[in-house]
Formats: sequence, C-alpha cells, structure tokens
Amino acid sequence: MGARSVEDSSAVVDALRGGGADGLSAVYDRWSPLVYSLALRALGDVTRAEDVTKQVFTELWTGRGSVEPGHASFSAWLIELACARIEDARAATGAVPGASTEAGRAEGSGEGRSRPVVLAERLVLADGLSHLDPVPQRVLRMILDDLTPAEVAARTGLSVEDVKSQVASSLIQLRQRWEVPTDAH
Amino acid sequence: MHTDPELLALLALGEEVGSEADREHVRSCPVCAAELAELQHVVTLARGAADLAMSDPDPRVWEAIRTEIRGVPTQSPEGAVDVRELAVHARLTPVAAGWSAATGDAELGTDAQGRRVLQVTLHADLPAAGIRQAWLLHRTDPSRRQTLGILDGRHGLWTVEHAIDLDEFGILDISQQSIGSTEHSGDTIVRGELVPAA
Repeated sequence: MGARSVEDSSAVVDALRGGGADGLSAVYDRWSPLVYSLALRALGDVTRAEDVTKQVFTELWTGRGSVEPGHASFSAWLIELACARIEDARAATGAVPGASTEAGRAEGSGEGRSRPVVLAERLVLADGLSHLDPVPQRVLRMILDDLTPAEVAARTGLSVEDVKSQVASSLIQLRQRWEVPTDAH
Repeated sequence: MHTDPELLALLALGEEVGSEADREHVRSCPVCAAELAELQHVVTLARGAADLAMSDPDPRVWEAIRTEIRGVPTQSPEGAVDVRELAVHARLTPVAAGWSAATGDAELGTDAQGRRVLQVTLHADLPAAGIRQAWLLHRTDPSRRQTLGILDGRHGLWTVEHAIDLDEFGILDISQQSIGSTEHSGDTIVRGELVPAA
C-alpha cells in the first residue's frame, strides 16, 4: 500500500474510516510519539503514560464515525483529547504534579499559561518541526541557530531569496498546525 | 489591506524586511499585530523545540490497542452491536462517475451467538427515490451474486449465513435499486473487496 500520509484531519479521517486497522496503525505510527511524550512528561510515569496513549488511540478508533474532517489542525484536536485523558489520570490518583515532573517545573516558568498547555505547545512545535520536509527543515533549524540567510545560502547552495521564502513558508506551516488549546475548563 | 504573511513571518524571525509603510501598518493594525505576535511565539517555541526529543511508546502499547479494538463495536446511530473478533473489512469506493463522491466501509465480525454480522456504512448523497441494496459478488465471476439485504438509509446490518463462502463471494456491492425489482440494477454506488482485518 505504501506509506500513507496522515498529517491533516481529512487524511486521518480517510485512514480511519476506510483503512481498517491498517489505517489506525498509520495514524498511530505518526502521532503516538507526540501523545506519549506529552503524557510521560505530564505524569512522570511510564505505565500511566502508556495507559493514556492506549486510551487516546482506542477512542480515536471507536469514535471514528464522528471525527470531523473539517477541523483544520489534527494535532490541536489530538492534543486536546490527550490533555483531557491526562487530567483524568491525574484525578484518578489524586496526584498533583510536583517539582519532580516536568509539568511542575513548567509551572514555575511564569509564562502565564497553565502547565499542560505549556508542555503541549513545546511538543506540538517539536513534532511539527521534525516533520517538515528535509531541506526546509534544515534551513529553518539553521536560521533558528542564528545563522543569517546569507550564511544559510552559502552552506546550502540556495539563493538568499529562496532561503527567506522557505523559512517564511515553514514558519507559516508550523503556525497553521498550531492552535492554542483552550484551557478554559 | 493586510500585510503579506511571508513578510510577517520574516519579521517574526527578526529579519529586516518590508518598507516603512509595511512596518507602520503592522504597528497600527490589530489583526496584523496579533498575527505577528503569534508568529513570534512560534519562533520562541521553535528555538526551544529544536533539541526536544520525542519518546516512542513501547510496542506493547500498540499490541494492547489491537487487542482492544478487535472486540469493539462500530459506532452507529442504531446503537452499538455486540460484535466481537473483527475478522474482515472492506473499503468501498465508487465504480461509476455518477457516484464519484461516494464512499463506504464495511466490517464483518461475530456476535455473541457466533453468527457472522456485517455492518455497512455509506457516505453518499442518496436520492430520495428507490432503495439501496447490498450484494456479495463472486470474486472471479461477478455475474454470480448473493443478496444480503436492504440498507436503512446509509446503514446496513445483516447476519451472513455460514454457508456463504467469503473466499468465493468476497466482493461487497451496494446498488441503487427501484423498489420491487429483484435483479441487480447495474447501478452500483460503491464496491469493495472483503479482506482480513489486520
């Protein structure tokens, strides 16, 4: 069948509705590291992070008749579901994240956003960045490392205009993948 | 007229771009200023994310999911049917231009009494007239057909008698039919091959 792209909502819905367990497998391969990494950092426990991951993807499967292909950013939708299950896991054990988990450390950052949102933002961004096409990804990473467009051009053989255009386009792509999860519960 | 998104992206990265008029617009326009702020936030996150490593879950998590979904009923408006051991499924696609926007999916499992149960869901704009009928076509001789039953709107749910060999009759076909006709109309909406579920 070949590698199936499951980057956006319609591709995911297509895979889940039409592809059977193979479709879910493709969605799982692409998106489980993001869900698992978030759960692991938020809960600080491998077993509980694995349980959250299993719950999220099982729910994705059982509810696939009602997943909305029109929702622009699949990662935002998935993260919202993952955050809800992470909160359920916390509530179930009565645990409050202490300084020993990354969630606890993030609270001290004083950014004015609540803990799960901070973690989710960083991970969604990292996930988006690592899934850009290879050349634009490399170009963006160099710019983020504070190389000038001229220096990047010299190293890659691209023109300065192409470097700027690629970098802008990559940033817009990351921006579109990103919707701030509302934490207004 | 708002600022070009690429220009905003480059400004967010700290590049010296755009005319004085562009920069003045961004300063004074709430929409563009908000978009610039959002892009700057993405840049900040990206700088921090460059070294952030993702962890892969242990393979046992996928195994647990597979085990779980084998026994899970498909959601349908009629309510969940207790179907276990999902064995076979089909992805249904159109064969004629007139139905090009239609799709469907089908799942065959076993119920608590050991009967084979086939569930079908159509995603299509259906005409008000006529009915939709499901057939199993012979894999090598499509003129040989076994009727399964009539759909209720976009959904179908039937038991499949064990005497029907799915290795022979393994193509699911959904047709648009006039009420009272006994033969396949020739107007297939979607069709697909029943294949083992992973």
